[in-house]
Amino acid sequence: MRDLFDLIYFCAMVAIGYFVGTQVEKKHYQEIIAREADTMKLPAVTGQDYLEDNAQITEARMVYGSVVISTDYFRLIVAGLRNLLGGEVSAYETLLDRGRREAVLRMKENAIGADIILNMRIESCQISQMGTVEVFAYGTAVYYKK
Amino acid sequence: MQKGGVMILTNIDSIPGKRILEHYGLVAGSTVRAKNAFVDLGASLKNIVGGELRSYTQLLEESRAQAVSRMIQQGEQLGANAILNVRFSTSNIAQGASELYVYGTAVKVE
Amino acid sequence: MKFIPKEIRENVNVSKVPAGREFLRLIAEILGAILIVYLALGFALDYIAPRISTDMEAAIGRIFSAKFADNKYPKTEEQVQGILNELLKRSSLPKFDYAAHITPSKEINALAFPAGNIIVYSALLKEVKSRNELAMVLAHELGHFAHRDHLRGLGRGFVLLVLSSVTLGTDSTVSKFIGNILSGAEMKFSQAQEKAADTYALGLLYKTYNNAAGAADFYQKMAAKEKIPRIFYFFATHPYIKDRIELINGIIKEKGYAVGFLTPIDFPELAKDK
Repeated sequence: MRDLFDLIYFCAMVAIGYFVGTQVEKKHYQEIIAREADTMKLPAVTGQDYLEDNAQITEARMVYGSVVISTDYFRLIVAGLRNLLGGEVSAYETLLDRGRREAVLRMKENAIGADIILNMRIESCQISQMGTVEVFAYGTAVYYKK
Repeated sequence: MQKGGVMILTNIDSIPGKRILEHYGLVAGSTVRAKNAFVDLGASLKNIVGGELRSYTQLLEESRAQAVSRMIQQGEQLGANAILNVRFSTSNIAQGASELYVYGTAVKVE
Repeated sequence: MKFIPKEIRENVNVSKVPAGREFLRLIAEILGAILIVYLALGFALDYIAPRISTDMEAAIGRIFSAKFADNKYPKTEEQVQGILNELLKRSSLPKFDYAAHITPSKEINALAFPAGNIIVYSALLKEVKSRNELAMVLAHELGHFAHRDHLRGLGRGFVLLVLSSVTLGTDSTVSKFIGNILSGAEMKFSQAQEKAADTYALGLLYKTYNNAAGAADFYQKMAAKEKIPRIFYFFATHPYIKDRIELINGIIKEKGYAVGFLTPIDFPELAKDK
């Protein structure tokens, strides 16, 4: 009897993960795309030599954005199965794509009014075994004289 | 320097000998790969004697190649023909799965 | 440097396969792999079982020996072993240390395990009323040894056991672990193997005692308890019990075996255990 309950619980978790999780992901992506459109004017580059010619810099400071993001139960199971056979884990790909874009957006939102973010770096690491990841983006925001 | 199709990649600020016209901001490519449970057994045995784990080397090489090609695809969408200041990052994001991503700044050179 | 903001329309960093389809595909692949391994083990078993030498079987038998270590009914075991030894004198079986082990259980059954171990459940002994009857039961198990049925009876797990014994040795924890699982698993002989064992048993019984009395007694007792009609036995692992009685009586008649007296037997140790 106990096993039956465990099985029902498991199936319920997977189902909730699938339906609700897919919705959460979709909404997040819509949000991300909207915010990316807003912050498109602020470039984040990975080097130093991207300053505008003849620009005078008033301020330069480090900015960063971070997010801890988790995947839903369904995708966790899929990733576990994928682990047996090897290959691309599509479930985590969306997770990290969202995480990365979110972290970069937060970094940009912390630097409103800046003209460019130089020497940006992105780090990510595992927080828990259940598909939780932290993504951290940092760079130097440079403000030109207006 | 690495030539990937028509796209030039560097991890320095410029391409020596070419002039940068404009830049388009950040582009990135990533993959998440899981290792095979059976390959893992072989690797555990190899762990006893030490030395290169060839299956994993190959796995990560493939991942890296795929991540780079995705980044190049993004760059092409923006109309860039070079990507500068490329950086790689490998991280363990869940047991048995590691993420590999590469990011850089897409530019147009002549 | 001039900055031109542009929008990245297509997201290249995610695969186009929706999670649901990926899941179904993975399930299908894994089930396929399991099926292939299952079939491969089946073929391997058919190949390996006849090729196991008695030495290898003796080595593998050591893995199971721990299971037989505890001796709850020493006097009963002596009684049973005594009859077994009488049968062994007149048989030409593979060379093992044939030993009878009595295990407490409510199930009426006896099993043949590798390297000459015969497990007899206490409930079976409680049913037995004569030495002849018991001798027939033991001779039946010896028949399985004569035909090496027990090797295939352990099933696909046996392939894994042989592989692990050959590569890692019989003392390794892996081998012991597999052995533990197998000793709990049900031994399955085919109907043909059961009938062949019955035939062998009758022959050995008569060679030892010159007396075919009591040969079918045990099965007749079981037949009285049997409620399942014959038709369901098509898929069963053992033959329809009345057929077995007919087979035995048929051979007795055909070979003109003398049917003498029954020698009663009882097990006082077991009687204490009600």
